[in-house]
Amino acid sequence: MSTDARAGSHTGPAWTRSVGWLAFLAVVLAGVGATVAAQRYERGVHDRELRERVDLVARGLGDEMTALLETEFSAAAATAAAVSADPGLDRASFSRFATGMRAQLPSLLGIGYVRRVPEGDLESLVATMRRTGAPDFDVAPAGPTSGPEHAILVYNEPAASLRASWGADLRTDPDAAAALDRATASGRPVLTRRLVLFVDRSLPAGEQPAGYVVYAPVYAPGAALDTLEQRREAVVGWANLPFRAQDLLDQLEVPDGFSVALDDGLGDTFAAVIGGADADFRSGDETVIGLPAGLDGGWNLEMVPGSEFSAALTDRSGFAVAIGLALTALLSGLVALLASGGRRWTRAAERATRTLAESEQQLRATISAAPDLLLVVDHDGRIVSASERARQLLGVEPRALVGRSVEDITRASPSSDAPGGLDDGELWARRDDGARVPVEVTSSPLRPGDPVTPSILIVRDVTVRRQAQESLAAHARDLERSNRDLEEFASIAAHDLSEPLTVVGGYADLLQQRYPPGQPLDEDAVVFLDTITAAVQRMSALLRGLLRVSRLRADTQHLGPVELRSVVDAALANLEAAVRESGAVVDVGDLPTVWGDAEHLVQLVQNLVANAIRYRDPSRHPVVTITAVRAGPSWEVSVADNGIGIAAEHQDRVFTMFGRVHSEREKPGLGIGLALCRRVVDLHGGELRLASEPGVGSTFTFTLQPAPTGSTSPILSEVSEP
Amino acid sequence: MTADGADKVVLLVDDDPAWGRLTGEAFTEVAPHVRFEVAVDAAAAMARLAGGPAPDVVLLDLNLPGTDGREILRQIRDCPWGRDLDVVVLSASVAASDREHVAALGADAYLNKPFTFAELCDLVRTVTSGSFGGPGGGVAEVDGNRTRR
Repeated sequence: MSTDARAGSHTGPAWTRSVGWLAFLAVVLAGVGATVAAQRYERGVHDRELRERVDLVARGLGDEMTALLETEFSAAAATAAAVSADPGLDRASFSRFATGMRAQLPSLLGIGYVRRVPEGDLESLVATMRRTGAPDFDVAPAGPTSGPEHAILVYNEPAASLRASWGADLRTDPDAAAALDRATASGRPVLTRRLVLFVDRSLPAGEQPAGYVVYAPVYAPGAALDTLEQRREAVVGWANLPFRAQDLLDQLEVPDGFSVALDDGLGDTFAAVIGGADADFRSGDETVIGLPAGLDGGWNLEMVPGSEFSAALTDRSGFAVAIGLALTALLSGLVALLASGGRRWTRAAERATRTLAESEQQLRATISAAPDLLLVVDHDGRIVSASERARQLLGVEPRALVGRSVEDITRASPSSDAPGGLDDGELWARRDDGARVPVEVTSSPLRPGDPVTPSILIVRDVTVRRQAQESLAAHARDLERSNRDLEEFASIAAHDLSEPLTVVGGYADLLQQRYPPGQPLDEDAVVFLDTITAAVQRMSALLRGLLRVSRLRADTQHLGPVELRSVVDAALANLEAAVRESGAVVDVGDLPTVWGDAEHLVQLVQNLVANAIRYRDPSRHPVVTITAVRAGPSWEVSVADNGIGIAAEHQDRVFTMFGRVHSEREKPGLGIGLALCRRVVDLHGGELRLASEPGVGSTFTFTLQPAPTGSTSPILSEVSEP
Repeated sequence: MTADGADKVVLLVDDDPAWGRLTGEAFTEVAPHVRFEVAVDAAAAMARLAGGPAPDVVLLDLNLPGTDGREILRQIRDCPWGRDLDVVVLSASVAASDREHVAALGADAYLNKPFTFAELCDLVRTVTSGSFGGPGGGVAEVDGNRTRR
């Protein structure tokens, strides 16, 4: 997921999404938990409990339904009583009564009064009604009735919706007539069969909802009502209270997942509250409760528990109950929090959510931008996740690391294939291309104290640091060498430059004393002056040599492949005069290409050959042999002479600056040459050895590294006398 | 007095002929009765000391090619005839380690080589007057024309 896409998802009402998401998550978790818990129950136990539960609910719903109907019966009875108390009730008074009654019972669609009218009284009724506020009153249908009397709906309120019903002769409707008769006979309110109410008759046939009417008998005041005959004689009319079946059902408190329907006893449901997705009232699994006495036509209440209801049922047992309670507590706590805290909580939640989102984003950005690779590793060392940095550090996609072992990546050394342990200190990461990167790994457990805790590994590329350290160490070595040189220089200045200086000072003073102004210089004076000049020249040579040695620096910029043959040729060219004068023979064998600084190597060879010639044995022709042999990874180059040789006890001194084996008088060496040679070989990482036997000759051997294969040798041009 | 009439003999051990000649000039200047001899290396010095009458003072240069002054001093003190010999070590060096080293080896004095002829003459006067002490007398330090005990 890109950072942009993430940021985009937070531009909406972030906290509501988060809360919604959390709630969703909580519900899902609860559902899963409940399901798992439910599976632990025996199927039978579940079914029995379900049946018991359904029965319980059914009985409850039946009772509730009865109570609702009894409310309606009471309203009907009250209406009947009101009319009975005032036989001369006019329309306006009835309308007021009806308004009051309907206010108490919202499902009541209307209140009407049905007057019992003997055949002969019909015309006087119509006349009376037309006279008392209903000028267009007429009886409908006007045709023959089913019996010797009529039951005319004289009042029906509210007039606005029920005006059309005025004058209806209910005797012409068999269902209504049957209900009226039952009401008369029982003396109590009764229910009609399912029918289409007057208010719904204007609707298309298929959309007319199921309705019913409650009739309550109105008897003549003071009449005896003990027998059926007396009641039939005394009845003067009926209260008429129409209801829609759906309104009745909608007042039921139906449990979630439960579906209920009314049926008319013939299997046809005519109103339903569908609470479950799979409600099927014809499956045979429905629970049927017969509605209480007083209902016509054997009305039933049918109930079908849906799968949601079953799930809800198991929710209430065992763990599910606990989870359900916890969930309820959580949700109610959240609702309470949001409700009671109002906007303050909302703002706090928004802030917290924003902060969380920002810090998550920051964390993500930090992890991707971190210079280190972050790995989450389980306790077996398997990588669980890896940060983006894996691409740069290891050359692999972070996802490709998941599931691999950390030991696949770490190495104990830059060359070994042995996996490195985290405690080894120095570690190398193996890139996918095989290269090794020096790394430093820090491991910290996610759950300290837990033996199987995952850990976070911070893998840091320490290439730069290592280079810096190496460079620093090299500089320190350079500085140390430089300091040592300086010390040596100072020491040499004190020791050896002061010797010729004493000569110069002494002779100059002597000249001054012996030859005051005006005194001509004689031969002695010339000797003194020559001595001074020679000492000064010696000092000058010493100083040049010192500078030459001190200028030798480990300068890797000048390192490269060098053909040793060219080096020897250049050195011999510089020594041409000395070689010619001494009559020396220089034999040069096959020489390799080595890794080094051409100019320094020329000085090295030149000094060794010069030494060989200088310390030649006067009794024989000087012969110098230059050869090279391979010794392991290095080349050993030897410069051998047949000179006077150096006694074993003096061999150490020859390499120190100005350490001389032979007297000034014998051999005018300056003692710098071999110190310089040693320095050059040091700078090339090799070593310089001496093997010598007095009277036979000396062999100086130095080691050099071969040039890497594939490197080309630069042309050695103009290596001049240093 | 020696056989040739010189009242003292001084042996200089130094490989530098220029320094030897200059020292000889100083002896001529201030101590013409002292016989001044020069040995240019260890071999010549040991041969002279072992083979002839002992000099009154040996002036030993420290920085010699091959066997250096320290080694020569050690060899002198190892010989029966050398134990009581007055040996003055000369050096152009001012390093304290050299002084300590030669003192441990039994030098009677440690002198810096002077830089003027006048100072060299003072040095010759000092060593020929015998005022720098004998065996067991400790190491005198002569700095220029001043002598400290």
